[in-house]
Amino acid sequence: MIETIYIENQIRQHRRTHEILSKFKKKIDIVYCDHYGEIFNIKSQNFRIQKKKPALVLAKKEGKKLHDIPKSFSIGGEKNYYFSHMLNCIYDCEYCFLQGKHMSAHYLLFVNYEDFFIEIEKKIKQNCLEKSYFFSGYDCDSLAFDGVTNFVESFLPIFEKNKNGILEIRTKSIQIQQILKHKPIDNCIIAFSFTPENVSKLIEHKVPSVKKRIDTMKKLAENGWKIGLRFDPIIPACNFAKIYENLFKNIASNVPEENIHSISFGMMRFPKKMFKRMNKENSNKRIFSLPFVNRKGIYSYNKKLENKLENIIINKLRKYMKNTPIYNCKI
Amino acid sequence: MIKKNEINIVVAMKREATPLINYWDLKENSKKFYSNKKKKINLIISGIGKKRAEKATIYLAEKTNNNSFFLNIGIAGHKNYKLGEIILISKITDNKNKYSWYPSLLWKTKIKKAPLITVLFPKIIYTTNCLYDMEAAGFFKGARNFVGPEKAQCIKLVSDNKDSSILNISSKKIENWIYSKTPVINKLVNEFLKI
Repeated sequence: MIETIYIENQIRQHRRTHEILSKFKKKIDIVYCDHYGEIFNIKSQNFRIQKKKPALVLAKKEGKKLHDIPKSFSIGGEKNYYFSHMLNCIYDCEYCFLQGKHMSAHYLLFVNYEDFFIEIEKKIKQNCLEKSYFFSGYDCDSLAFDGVTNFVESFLPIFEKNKNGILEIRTKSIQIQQILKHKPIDNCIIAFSFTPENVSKLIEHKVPSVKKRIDTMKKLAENGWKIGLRFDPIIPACNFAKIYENLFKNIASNVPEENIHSISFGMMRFPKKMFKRMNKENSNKRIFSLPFVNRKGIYSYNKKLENKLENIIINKLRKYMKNTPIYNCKI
Repeated sequence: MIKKNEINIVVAMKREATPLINYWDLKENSKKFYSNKKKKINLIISGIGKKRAEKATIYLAEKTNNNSFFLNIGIAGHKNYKLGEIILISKITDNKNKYSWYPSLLWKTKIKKAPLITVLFPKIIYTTNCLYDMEAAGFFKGARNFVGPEKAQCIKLVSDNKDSSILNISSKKIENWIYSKTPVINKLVNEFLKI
């Protein structure tokens, strides 16, 4: 799949660079650069063309590794941070904000994980009187590329020894082999994103089927792992109440409620600039036929529709998962 | 019917251009500017050096469709590569200011890829593992004003190496190298135009 790897000169000899390169058995073209921005941040790139054959870019993450998350996007914690060891995703969801966020569709992987660990542990220490929540999977799918990134094997041990830190691994992937090699820990949530099957088939390209993802959650739950359910974005499709209810019912009949840590959902929402860019590059995509309105610089559904969808979602969820906390990611 | 994209090709010398002009049946429109409207191929002979390459590329861009593809074809030296070998360039560095361009490598091709450095004067000693030419940086500087990294590419044929210096290059040899690789170049051009 990957045929070209760009490598920053400063991490040419990094242990993880060598490990990653050793995973590519097929002949690949390696191109060295001074800074990943020379490839990744160049203007006038065509995201859609690049998405057909993305390259891998290996780089060193400079500056801040952890970013604050507003409380409205939390799953019960006061101290919430996200981190991105990778930018961009192997899947191609039509609603994904990544296509409007970055100039490039290449996969950018920061190999200096140890610098992330230092910041994570520092933050846990700093917030020693309460739990700190760390979210992975905002700018990439945490597990989908695990075979190359070794994310689980690298990051999980940090949380095995720091119980005051909660790790959410957000994914649509079924790559859980590395997780299952570990004993389950209470402070790690494997959070799966869903839209109903018929919606997923239409707009979540290259994503494993809903059935496969539910089977994967079931397997994790059987092994004692905590599961997060993420219905974000909510898509107002035909037979909305029915297809979402079927999805919730299907999940509830496969994953015991005691294994579900939390549920969160949110409407589709994009900052104006991102929305315009996505629309320009993907004007033929189905999601742009949805009823977006500009709400103080954020493109989302109108308030009336939002309230209606929220009510349906909460009612249907409560029917099948009575005690699990539900969080509404509101703008 | 799929609308075929237009391609703008920049070569430095007439002797590099001749096999391509013949292969694609290009007609001279004006001095040093050739095209085949049916095949949507335009070619310009820029003259030697990056400044000339840049100027010629901008001239072509302004004369043609703003969604065109841009391609630089020419000769280059490399320490070890075999004479006549065809290379798709993965990185172009202007030796003067060290600025680099990275053409997106999206193509189904087995052609070898390698980085290149554009120098002001011909190289006799090859200090790096890169190819050396005199135009590509100018071509990219010009082309990238109009298109992104997917639509500006560079193909080089090895004209000199540590065993055969630039002093051994002749017009006939250049024509022969390009001539023998024209079908491969044509295949790659068709691949480029699929985007």
